[in-house]
Amino acid sequence: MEQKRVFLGVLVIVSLLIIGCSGSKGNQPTAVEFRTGSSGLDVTFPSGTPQQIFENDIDVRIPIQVENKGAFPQFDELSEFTGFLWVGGYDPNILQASFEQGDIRKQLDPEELEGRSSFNQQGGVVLESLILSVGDLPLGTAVYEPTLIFYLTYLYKSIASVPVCIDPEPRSINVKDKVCSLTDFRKIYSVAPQGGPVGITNVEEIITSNQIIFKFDLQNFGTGQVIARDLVSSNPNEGFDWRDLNRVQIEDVRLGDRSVDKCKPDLGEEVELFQGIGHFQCTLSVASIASAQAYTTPLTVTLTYGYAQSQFRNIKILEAIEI
Amino acid sequence: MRKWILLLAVFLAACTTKPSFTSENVYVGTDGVSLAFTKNSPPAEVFENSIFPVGIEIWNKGAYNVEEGYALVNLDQDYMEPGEFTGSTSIFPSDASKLDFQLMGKSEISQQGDRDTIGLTVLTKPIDILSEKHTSTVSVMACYRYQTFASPNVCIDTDPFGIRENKKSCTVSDIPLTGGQGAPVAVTKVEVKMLPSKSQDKVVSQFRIYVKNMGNGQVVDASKVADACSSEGLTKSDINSVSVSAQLSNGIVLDCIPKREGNGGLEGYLRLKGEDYVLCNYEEGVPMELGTFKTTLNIALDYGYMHSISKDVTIRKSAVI
Repeated sequence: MEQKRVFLGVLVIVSLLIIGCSGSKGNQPTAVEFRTGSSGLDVTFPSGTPQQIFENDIDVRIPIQVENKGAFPQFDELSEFTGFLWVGGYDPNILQASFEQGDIRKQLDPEELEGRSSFNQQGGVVLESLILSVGDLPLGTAVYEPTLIFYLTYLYKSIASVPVCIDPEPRSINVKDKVCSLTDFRKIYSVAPQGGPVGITNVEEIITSNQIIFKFDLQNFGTGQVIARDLVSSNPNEGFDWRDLNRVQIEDVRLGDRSVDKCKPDLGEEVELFQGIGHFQCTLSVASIASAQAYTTPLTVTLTYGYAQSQFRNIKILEAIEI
Repeated sequence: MRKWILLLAVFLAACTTKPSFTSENVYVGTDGVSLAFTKNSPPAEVFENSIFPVGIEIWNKGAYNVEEGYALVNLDQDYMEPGEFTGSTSIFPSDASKLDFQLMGKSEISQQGDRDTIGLTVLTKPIDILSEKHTSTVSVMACYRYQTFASPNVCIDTDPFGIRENKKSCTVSDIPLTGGQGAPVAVTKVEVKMLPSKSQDKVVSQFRIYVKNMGNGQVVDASKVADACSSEGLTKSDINSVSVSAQLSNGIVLDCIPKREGNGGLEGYLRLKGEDYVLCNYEEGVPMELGTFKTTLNIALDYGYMHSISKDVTIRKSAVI
């Protein structure tokens, strides 16, 4: 009997130790990769949003949800973000639509729409209200069915960080172990979307006798339109001149913590997308590499661009019965 | 036990049938004012030198309120003469077989339209001595002023050639209108075109509006309705005459052609031959800053309409005692 008690006691202690030890592993912090996905801002309509109103209805509120599914802006980039929500697609003589302050445009708050991060893996969400007022429908009109179009125009930034292999002596005949190498002096790196609607898709590295050349492919992954950055505050319902579209600025390209020597188009200039795809390249002199050993280091590319995205919503306005 | 099951079934049935209120569009159909003889009025056979009733049901099945309508009873004057209207008063003392009427059309409140029944007593005259019977026709003609309202939603695209890039909330397309608009003359189709304007920041919208007589009566000029139901008669220019007016959005009057001779206004004018059309423009143009949007095109047709019904009545010789 005594032995049984001892045995049970030992069993309980061992079980507690096992649970305690396995539980502690779960408390280890894990790194969250938040620069993923190909979305930026998005418009959705909460359930219960009215789709039918009546003649002479005044100040009907339609809720609209704006979500930031991308990775920009981070908390230290809030001042760089600009975004607007617009409404169009209706006859202003029949229907009056506006956001607060009576405008068809609503400036978005960057603090409420902070991008996904280690602390906020969902991204910011904000609920806006569209206010509708209907006058008299013309005589004989039983129903008026406009399709409202909600536009988001915003400034965005995508940052790609690609680990690349730097081999300062790719043609050396010396035998030595290398942490990485380039077959035939070139390598192609595929890059997943970086938390924005525009991003780098591939990087090709070519090492010549005196230069390292990086060739970049970029793509508009999203369903919206890349627009000139200074058109973000312009009314998208008026349309955009085709010459102002599909231009992405190469803000920065860094290998480790140093900038590349030059690019074509150059840093600060714009790459033009054709059918949603663009290309540019940058070079770095081999002589500027301090190490004699091969090593991997992040190649960081920062792209900035304006983006216009739209969402449609049908609404029915019915004739009121007058008694 | 059976009683409880029955009660439960009744309860469930009551719960599942929810009362519903549905709003019906009254601007459908191709009926206007309909005429019908009431039962046995007139009867199929009557005797000479007797009185018989003619009962007429007038029913406004369309969506327009008739404010100027006339009903004319035509009799074979050699064998019949009109007596008095019952239930109504003729405004034409010298023409006892004609009266006027006003009837409300269909509406959200009254989805059937108003109807009225009037009666006329008719006296038969002696038939020929050598005849045992004579068949005459009693006919009733209605002449009334009517309007058709059509309000299709049309797409206005201020960038028809797609020079500027943006998402559009609608596409410019022709609009077929089937089923009528609650009147005998209907708009059957609207063709929409966006044309460049002289000023670069606007677009001219043009609409081709097709009109057709869908009823089985005759279209007449709206101002000649009283003459249509009288001995005055109508001239050739009074027949098939329809005025067409169109407004875009809420109050923008369009300029329509062809026009009535001598009329300098914006209204169009049609001499209906089967299906015909008018062309209406908004010459001032829609500003490009409004983008692409849907709006209403409000079309009003103004015309008179006449149609008739008839029934044969056999007048028999009275028995000589």
